[in-house]
Amino acid sequence: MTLGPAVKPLQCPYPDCAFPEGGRCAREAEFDDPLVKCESLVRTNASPPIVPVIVPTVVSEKPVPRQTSINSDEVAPWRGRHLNLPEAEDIVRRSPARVISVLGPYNAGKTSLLASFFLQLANGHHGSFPYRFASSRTLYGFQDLVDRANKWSGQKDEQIVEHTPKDDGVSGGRFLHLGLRPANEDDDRHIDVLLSDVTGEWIDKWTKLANEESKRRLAFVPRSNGFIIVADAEKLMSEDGMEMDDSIGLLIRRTSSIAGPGQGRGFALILSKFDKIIDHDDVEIPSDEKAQDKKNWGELGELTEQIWGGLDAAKKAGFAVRVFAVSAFPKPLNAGQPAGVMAPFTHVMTCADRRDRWPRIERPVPENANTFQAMRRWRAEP
Amino acid sequence: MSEKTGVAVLGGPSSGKTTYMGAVVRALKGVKIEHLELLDLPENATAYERLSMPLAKLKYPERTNDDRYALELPLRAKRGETIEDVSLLMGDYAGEEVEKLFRDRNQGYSEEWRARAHAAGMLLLVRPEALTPLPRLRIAEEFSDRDRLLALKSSSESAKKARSKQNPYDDPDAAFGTGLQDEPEKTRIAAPTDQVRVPTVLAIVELLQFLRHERGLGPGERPKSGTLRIALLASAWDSADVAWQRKGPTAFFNENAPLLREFLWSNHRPEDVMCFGLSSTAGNLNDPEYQKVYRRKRSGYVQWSDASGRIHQTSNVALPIEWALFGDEAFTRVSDDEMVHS
Repeated sequence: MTLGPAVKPLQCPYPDCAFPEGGRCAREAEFDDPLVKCESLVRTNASPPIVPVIVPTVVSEKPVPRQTSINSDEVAPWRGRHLNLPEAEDIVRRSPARVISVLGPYNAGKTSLLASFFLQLANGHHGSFPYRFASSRTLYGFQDLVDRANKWSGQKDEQIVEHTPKDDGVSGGRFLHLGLRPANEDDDRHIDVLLSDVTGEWIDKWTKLANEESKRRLAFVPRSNGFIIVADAEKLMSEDGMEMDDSIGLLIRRTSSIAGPGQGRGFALILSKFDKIIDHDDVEIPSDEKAQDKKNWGELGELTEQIWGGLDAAKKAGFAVRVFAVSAFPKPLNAGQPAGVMAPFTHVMTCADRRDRWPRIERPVPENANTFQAMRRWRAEP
Repeated sequence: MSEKTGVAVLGGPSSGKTTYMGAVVRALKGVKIEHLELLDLPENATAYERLSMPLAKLKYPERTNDDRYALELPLRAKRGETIEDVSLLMGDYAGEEVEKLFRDRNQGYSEEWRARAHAAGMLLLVRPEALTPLPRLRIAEEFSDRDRLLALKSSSESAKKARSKQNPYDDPDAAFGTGLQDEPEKTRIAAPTDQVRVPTVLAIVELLQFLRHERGLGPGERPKSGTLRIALLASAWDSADVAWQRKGPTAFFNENAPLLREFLWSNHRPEDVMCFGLSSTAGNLNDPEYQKVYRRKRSGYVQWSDASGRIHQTSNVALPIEWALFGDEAFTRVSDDEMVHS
């Protein structure tokens, strides 16, 4: 069972029309109310298909506490915590949401990455990220992560954020939600983004054995529009590095095989906790272009043969693969900024939001054009 | 026949809602606002008294705990040649309710909250101190991801690199101002050693999301122009850092509450969002020396930035309410408009 496909109650054949996604109608100059009047809009079945996409086969042994004091009239419209699969499906039904799978072994830094990403967004440090915050159904979930990160004193043996609990999202995922609006003012869409935040233990099990149970727990992977694989760079450089290289290499291959043909979907490998290996003499920090070649990573490139092999396979399968060095929490929050956090999100979101556009219509300038029209010709000619 | 128009006053704990409402009531009961006239007092004037009387005693109104007051202000607005009667509804509540609602979703989202969703305008009060520590104003300098990583090296000198190496007087904008701004000023870029600020406005953003949801607005759906105006008020503006007072409330919010600004940019039309600096009492009433000044002056002030970035000031503390009701037209009726920073 998986997240349903993106439901588009409205569709428009014009490639530049963003109306079905809450943006501008390509023919808005012709109609004051495109929803009513535009004949190009095609209404698929108005009511979204009610597909029983979740069959909860695992019943939690813990009894759910009965909350007797709840006044149902005064319940807020949503919980604000991480979304479970049914809640995520509601969003997928509402709009063609982009699902980003954030995968990696236990303690690789997945949740820290998500917390740091949100902090950068909340502080307006977008870097190259071409979207702005518009909404979130999981603001309390983000606040919780940020509060925990804020308590981190910088001690190495101290957890920055809590490990993701194993019990949560047992029936097919656990998500953080962001609604984004393109920074480009001409693009008027609201884009729902679901970021997976599942425990590394399940991902480890899924990597080793993709049986029904582990597939159900990561049911969102085939539907994902982008993938972020998080690998602990410090661990890769340690004595256990070969083992880690093997398991991340397998994870990359597992992800690309279950996700199906790449179709240009973004695939970002994050070498996390990079601040911890930055002082190694043999570690290089390549520039963006050179980062895609393992030779430019120095010793780290040499120690990650399996990972690069997996990435090559993903590339061949059609994924848009890029590698990034990231340090999500190099210091306590009051002592310094993260490094490289926004770039992988920019990559996967740019790929997920890629749209085919029609070329500009260039009307020929007539020979006997007046002065104003001729200016266009003068501008166009070299 | 007056039409009842609601203006919701929103804000977290200690954001200055009660003091502001007290100052507005005092100004309306006096003759300080020329084109807004308070008509009859309602039979039950308890809320009026509770809000405005402490200010007459040179004290701040007490923070609302369990007490809740719905304030109805029947007003006559003079708009050029036309006279319009509006009945302004404002509710006072404890700011802690906003935090509680954010944490505990199972209770507290009452009918009263739902009703606020249908207000014609919203005044959103944020106390500058709630966004502390205020960063130093510095000239933006681009840092690539590679620069940031290199700055993490323990031997790195770049971590200590001063960002304001450029002489601000080499920059014409710094010396002469930016002139007419056709696009919002870019917020500064964080240096590797700058602290990461923890957002403190998430509860307010969530509350706005709830109210929009109640109003039937989808995420990212910008309401029709003029149907829902949102005034952002930096309260206790007199105590804000002088550097921010010079830059103005718009720059202050852009820099200190980017998440809230982005949320409003994404969900509302630019003409329906306005930033104000508000000082309900123009100084600190806890200071005995200032009490003497306030006894004579008895008014606060409101500041705002115009399109050229110049900072204006008026003693009409009801200006944000007028703006929420009538839009930019409200600025044309300010009689004591004073340019305080250019």
